[in-house]
Amino acid sequence: MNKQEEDPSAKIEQFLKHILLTLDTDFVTSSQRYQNNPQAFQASILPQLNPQSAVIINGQPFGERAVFQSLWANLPASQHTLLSFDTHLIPAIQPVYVINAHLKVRFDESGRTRLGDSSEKEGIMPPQPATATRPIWGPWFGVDLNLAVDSKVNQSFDGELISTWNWRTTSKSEGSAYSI
Amino acid sequence: MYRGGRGGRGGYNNSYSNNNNYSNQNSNNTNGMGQDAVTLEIFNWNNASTSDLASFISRKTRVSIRNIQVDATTNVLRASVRNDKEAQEVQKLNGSKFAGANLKISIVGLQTSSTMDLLKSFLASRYDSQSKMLNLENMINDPILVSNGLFSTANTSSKMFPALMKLAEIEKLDIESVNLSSTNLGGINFTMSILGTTFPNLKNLALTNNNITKTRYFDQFKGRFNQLRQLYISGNPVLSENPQPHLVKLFPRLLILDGVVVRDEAKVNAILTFPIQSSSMFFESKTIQDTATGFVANFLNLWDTRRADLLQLYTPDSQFSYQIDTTHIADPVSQSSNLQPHSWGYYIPNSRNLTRVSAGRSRMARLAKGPEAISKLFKNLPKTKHHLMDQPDAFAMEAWSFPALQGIMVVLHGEFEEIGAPEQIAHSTGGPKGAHRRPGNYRTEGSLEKRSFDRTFVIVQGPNGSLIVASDLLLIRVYAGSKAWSTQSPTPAPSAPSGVASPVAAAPSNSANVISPEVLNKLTPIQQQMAAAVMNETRLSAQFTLMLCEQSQWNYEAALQSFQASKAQIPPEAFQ
Repeated sequence: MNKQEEDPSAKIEQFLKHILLTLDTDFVTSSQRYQNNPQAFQASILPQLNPQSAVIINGQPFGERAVFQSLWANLPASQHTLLSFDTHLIPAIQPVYVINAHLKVRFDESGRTRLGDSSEKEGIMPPQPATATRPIWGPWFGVDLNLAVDSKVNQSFDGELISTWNWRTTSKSEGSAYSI
Repeated sequence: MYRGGRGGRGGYNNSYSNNNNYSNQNSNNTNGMGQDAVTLEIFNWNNASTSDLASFISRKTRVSIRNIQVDATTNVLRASVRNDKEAQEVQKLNGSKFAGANLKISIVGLQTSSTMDLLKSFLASRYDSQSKMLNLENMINDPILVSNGLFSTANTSSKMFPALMKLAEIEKLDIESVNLSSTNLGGINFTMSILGTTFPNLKNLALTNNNITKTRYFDQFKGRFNQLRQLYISGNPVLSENPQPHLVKLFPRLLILDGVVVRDEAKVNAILTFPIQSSSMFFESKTIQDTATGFVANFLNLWDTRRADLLQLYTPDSQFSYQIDTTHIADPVSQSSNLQPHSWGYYIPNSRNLTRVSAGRSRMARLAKGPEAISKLFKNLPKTKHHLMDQPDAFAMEAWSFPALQGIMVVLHGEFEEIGAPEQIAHSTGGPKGAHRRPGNYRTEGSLEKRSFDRTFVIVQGPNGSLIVASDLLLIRVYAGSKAWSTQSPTPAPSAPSGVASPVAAAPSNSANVISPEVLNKLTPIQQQMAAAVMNETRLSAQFTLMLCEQSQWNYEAALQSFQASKAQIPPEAFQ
């Protein structure tokens, strides 16, 4: 192996953490960032997806990025943590990174979506302090994530770089109120 | 001499303060709680007071009688002593003169089978199998429990409830509702969290009139009652703290609190259910399915039996590397695989978990390119057995096209057993040349275990219709089984029509908001997802959502644009 060969994977960890953050944003607590516009919030979820990407979640395909974003915006708040990953840079006309990553994710079990929809009946409860909107995190789920990412990622994280997004829950706890 | 120095005080109160002594004496009691007791019946005593009688018996026999109860109509006195021997001592007084009459003393029951039997019969008397209800209301005043001293001290009281729960668990009682009203929970230091451990799927719980004073009392239930639907806490001083919002957060599926509906059930189900039902297999097309399944079956078979034969699938440009993730995420799946410390010794030297390997040189050294380097890494991995054929449910798979190379991407998730040490034990790579590995730095020997894995292949067409593996990324992790994608859900699924995987089906069960299963089955999975998203966005009813989608030829953006353009003309009944 050529020892002078440069490590092409240097930026991938940072990129993965960057995109996972977009999956965990919460409109309720950061609505000002989106000028109080839920559409703008929705569009901020994984904008690196190519609009026609192959998006597969737990073995179910999504036709378009927008459908995925709409669905994701209506989930409860989440937290993703990158545990482990490996990547190969595949030589092609436009080289592409294939990434296999192991994550853990947990969801807010307090009964609210990240857009602020709540299962609670209005007007029943006494007024709540601001701390009451804090998430109640459930147990962790394990997730395997497979990505194909354009090598332009080395210049910027902001383009539509992801052509494949395959998200699969691989372990779960019995004690979870959130059911996957 | 356990009663030494207490003679002057006499009576049954005395023996209670000697709790330590008698709990040591009785080895077959339950959790140190209560003790074996024998009940006596005494007649012809009532010319004097009960305390006179107790003093008399204590003076004559040095035995204390306790739990004294008098039947108001017959004047029969019932009392208990600690054991058979004491009972016989007291019975020697049968016929003795006391306050002008001859005492008549008989031994009613030798309750040597103890507290456990007592609790068992109590549990049975309070359990209704039809309503699946355990009614422990006011158990602290239950005459049998009280007469046997189960609430006689704070110590026995606090152990009583865990013992009862343990029994319910042993007896495998099917319990959905528990009534613990008027049991002085706030006053006695019960470890109530055990209720959650014993009945994680409890649906109804009554805790009324319990002298609970602080909201934080309920924090012990956090994460324990994920299925609880009804909770009653009226009659507790805690109500002055307005604990309701906190309680609603603590119990994610709580619908009714003190008789008031606090949550919308359909919404609870929709919000707490991931809107995509897991499917263990996805293939973009029939052709891809045939290629991918054939490839995987052959590949794993050769991996387990003749690994070197696989090298013909790899060209000089092919890449292979593996990574290990030793993190425990969810519950242990089986005791054998998870309670033991895991050994990853065989894998550590070349694991390319890039969150751990940061130096560019080490990263490159752990990446195998071309058959020769790949062969070396293959030999460094333990010999395995994948049960793909006999346990297909243990595996999940996705395969779809990979346009960059005009190939396909195949991802396989599953498990394998390690059945033998690697052909070659790996040594550390990527370190400075000539560096010696310190002994004890890590263990290269590994134990043979069951593990889970995720493997990502990029497969392209080679010459003469053969297949070439362009990229092969293997991730090995702690064994986690297949319950994440198997269809049996541990928690009862919300009212989704069976066999239909779609967020539409999981939507509120108002008929206007649900697409019927017949219609749903005619939609492709992508159309189902789109309909759900459109419905969410527009709040149109199921029927109008489908019309909109069809008019827009199942183009999501077009559907939303068309909705915006004609919103003003849409009749109100078209909305949910």
